[in-house]
Amino acid sequence: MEHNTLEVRGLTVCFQTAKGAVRPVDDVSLKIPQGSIVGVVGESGCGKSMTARAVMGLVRSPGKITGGSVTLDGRELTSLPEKERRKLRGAEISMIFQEPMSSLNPVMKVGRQVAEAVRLHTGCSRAEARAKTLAIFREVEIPEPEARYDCYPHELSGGLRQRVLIAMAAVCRPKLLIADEPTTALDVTVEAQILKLLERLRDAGVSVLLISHDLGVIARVCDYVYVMYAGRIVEQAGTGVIFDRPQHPYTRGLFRSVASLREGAETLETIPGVVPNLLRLPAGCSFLMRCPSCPARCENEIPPLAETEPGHAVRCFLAGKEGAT
Amino acid sequence: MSEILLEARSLTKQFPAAGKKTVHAVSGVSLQIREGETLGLVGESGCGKSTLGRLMIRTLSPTSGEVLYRGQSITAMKDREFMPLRRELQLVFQDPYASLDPRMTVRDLIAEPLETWHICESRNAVTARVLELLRAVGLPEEFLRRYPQQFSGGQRQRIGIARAIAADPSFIVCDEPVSALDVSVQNQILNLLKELKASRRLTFLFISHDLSVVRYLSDRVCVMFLGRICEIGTTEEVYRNPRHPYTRFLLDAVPVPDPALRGKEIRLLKGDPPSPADPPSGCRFRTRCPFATQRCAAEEPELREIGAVRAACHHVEE
Repeated sequence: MEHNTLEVRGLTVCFQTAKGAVRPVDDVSLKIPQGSIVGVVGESGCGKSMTARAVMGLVRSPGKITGGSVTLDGRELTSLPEKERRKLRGAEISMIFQEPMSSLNPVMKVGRQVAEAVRLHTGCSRAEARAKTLAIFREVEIPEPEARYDCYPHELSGGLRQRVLIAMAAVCRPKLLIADEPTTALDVTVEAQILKLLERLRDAGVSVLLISHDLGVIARVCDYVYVMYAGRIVEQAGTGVIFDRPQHPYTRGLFRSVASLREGAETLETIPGVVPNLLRLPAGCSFLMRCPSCPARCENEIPPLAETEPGHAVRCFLAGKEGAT
Repeated sequence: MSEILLEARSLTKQFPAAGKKTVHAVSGVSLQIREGETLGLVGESGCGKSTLGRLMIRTLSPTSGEVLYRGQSITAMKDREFMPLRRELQLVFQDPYASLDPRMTVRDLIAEPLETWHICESRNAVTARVLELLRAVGLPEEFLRRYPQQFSGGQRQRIGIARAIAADPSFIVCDEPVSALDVSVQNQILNLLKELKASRRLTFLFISHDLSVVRYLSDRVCVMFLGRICEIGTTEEVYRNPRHPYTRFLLDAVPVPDPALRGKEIRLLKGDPPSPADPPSGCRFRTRCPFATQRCAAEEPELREIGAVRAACHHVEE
């Protein structure tokens, strides 16, 4: 039986605002089998980053986890006291962000920043921490690691900074690495290198949760994909399956938009309308306003996430009923 | 063939940098843009594509070289001489959140260029024109009295486009106009730009790091690396049969949304782009190029005709 490094069940994050309660993450369940890269894809505001923060235990007030569970290797995280969680972060779960500059201390040499993380979590000596840092720098292919050790973040290129962050995240051999848009701020030729690096970590047994808006990135490295829309998962399947036969009208629209651009269509496919305001979600399906075919039922009832084939689930009443391919 | 609208002649722009260094943002770039065509400008961050875009419409002045608009040098002009031409040369910005004054209503934002150029006779005529522009960019009339923060990124970008076309320019530089937008909205804006290009006979310089976006809108494409042109040619030719090694790597590196292609080993470029403050001698791409030889270090390759395109490389053959 496959072992799941991370299991998230019914996770809900709620923000009380002056205008009412919003749920950027609404009843999200996902799992990451050990040694795999699982992708969460969706557009800005769909809740993908908030899901990652909730797993890390980094939801800030006024946001609150109001339901569900998060387990890492079977251990429940949501009920852990903050002190315990802090020990976990950086040791068992690590996270890297989109903009590497804002995650690094600008006035501290990058080598020391990584070494400090090592000492914090392992309590080893300075010399050992330095040796471990240099080893991980080599592993993530930072050229001339000794020289880079004494560089400040501003002296490094964007690609190198992201490598330093990945080194920092990976140095304690975490079970789970969360990568939130890790290549969005990078150039394509550098992006390809960073994706390769994530795959190498995966092959070394690290489970990766990759958050991205870029279907190309998802297709290249993910084993399994969750699609989020307005706080909910609307479709999930193996990467090959979801690219081959997407079922949810949102997923299809998204894939068609990207495909028409790639194929150089005369007029590009679009999804009409805009993402709904989370304060004014319809009572039923949240894709309702933009959906090309919605029966009356969608207005009042939230469709369940139902399996259409093994390992492929869709949140749509029409899924699998129209002989869609 | 239609006439040449804008021409860059050996444009060079250098910026002073810390430590008495010089950033070579654009180095000796020459190109022509014909009336009614869209020239796509691609390259990675720091390659000088935005600087080149700004030089073309004189929001930056070059260190050397000149820009000609309808055969007339706009570089040599005095500010007062150039003023009437400003109306002809416009810009659409990348960030629709930063480029609109949050204290102005949509009406005032779009009316600003109309009032600057005294295009309409009366206040009512201005409002009528603004409504017409709102329709042209696909926004409903009731947006007139609202403020930018009430809109999504895509709607704001439409307002930015309405501002740019308000004074009936002939040439617009679009600097990464869709990179801040979501995929589903990005396509709406691209469709709008294509439609405006046809209906208003606009000429575009379309700057983007996204190769598929550039492909969709451009008649010709210019690939830049570290301040120089590597390759320039018709979109079809450059994408189908890239000649310069950098163009090939760039096209190869784009993640394709098709998991079936995952097994295909992609060739990776070594290292990071070199710093524009300290460009390599000879060919600027040589430090990352697997085909580089001694000649590439000694001698700077000139742009030359290779088949149907022009490329700057010593080693590319027909």
